[in-house]
Amino acid sequence: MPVQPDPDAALMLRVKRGDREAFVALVEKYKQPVFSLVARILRDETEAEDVAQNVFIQVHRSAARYKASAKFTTWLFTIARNLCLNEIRRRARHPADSIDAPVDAEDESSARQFEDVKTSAPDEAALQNELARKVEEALAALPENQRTAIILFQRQELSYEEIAEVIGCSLSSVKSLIFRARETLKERLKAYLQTGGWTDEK
Amino acid sequence: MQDERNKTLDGRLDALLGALPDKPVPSNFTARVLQGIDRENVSPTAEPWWEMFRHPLQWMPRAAMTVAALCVGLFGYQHHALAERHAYERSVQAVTQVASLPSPEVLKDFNAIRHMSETPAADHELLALLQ
Repeated sequence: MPVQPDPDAALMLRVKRGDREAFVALVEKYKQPVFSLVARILRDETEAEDVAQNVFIQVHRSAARYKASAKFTTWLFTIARNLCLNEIRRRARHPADSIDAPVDAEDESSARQFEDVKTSAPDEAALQNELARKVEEALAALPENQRTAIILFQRQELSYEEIAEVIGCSLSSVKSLIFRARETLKERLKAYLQTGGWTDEK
Repeated sequence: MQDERNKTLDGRLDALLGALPDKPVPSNFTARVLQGIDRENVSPTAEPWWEMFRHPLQWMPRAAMTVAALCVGLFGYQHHALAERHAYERSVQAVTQVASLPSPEVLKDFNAIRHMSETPAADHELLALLQ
């Protein structure tokens, strides 16, 4: 079966030659997945803005070193993850600089005030939003490598091999990371998963 | 039965994860990326040194200041050199005004002449006898 040419690789080769429009096309195509990935790895949308922008700036800066043999998305998400790790390390060295960054998703949720659903009519959209928030919290509570692996697998539909390249680990490690992440999420979200409806876990 | 249950849970988890909304990307995201790239590209390029003469307004003020500093330095050095020369001249002049020294022959009997011109000390014993 012939390998389909990577359209993004063609764009990237144009970027190498200084084609600004090609670069803008890549940014427009991938800003959403990159931003979502970075925001979920960092668990902070404010910081994710700067880091996600730096991902594309780094892509432009490294265009001369890009090889068409590598799949563009793998290369792109590798840069994204590495910049996220740099940011996480920077936070660890200077914790005072990021006082707004959530440290623990559970602590953050316990401090919030929720609408009392018993006194107001259950709103489907509100319930869905609340469920999404719980899933995000469960994701945020995962270790970074499990979180990254499962997001790349479930949301970006990367293969195990591609995820292994992004994270820099073996194929078996990727499978193990995803398995453990899923088990943790199923345990944390079992109230909804088992009943199919939403109940407050508190 | 357990396998079916797990498959159901897995399926629901897949559905939950798949249904997660995307994080909203700021509307000026691409513009800010391009600004970041332009900031990196706008750096002073190292042009050949002779190119600066094409823009006199850029180098003339600096050249004028350099010339002024050189002039001040030169003037200071000349003033110092002149002062030292004057001091030297004065010292030479002082030396030339000194009376010329006698010839060495005159000094041959210097000690004898010096003793002769000395006033002898009072003879206290003689004075006592005379009294």
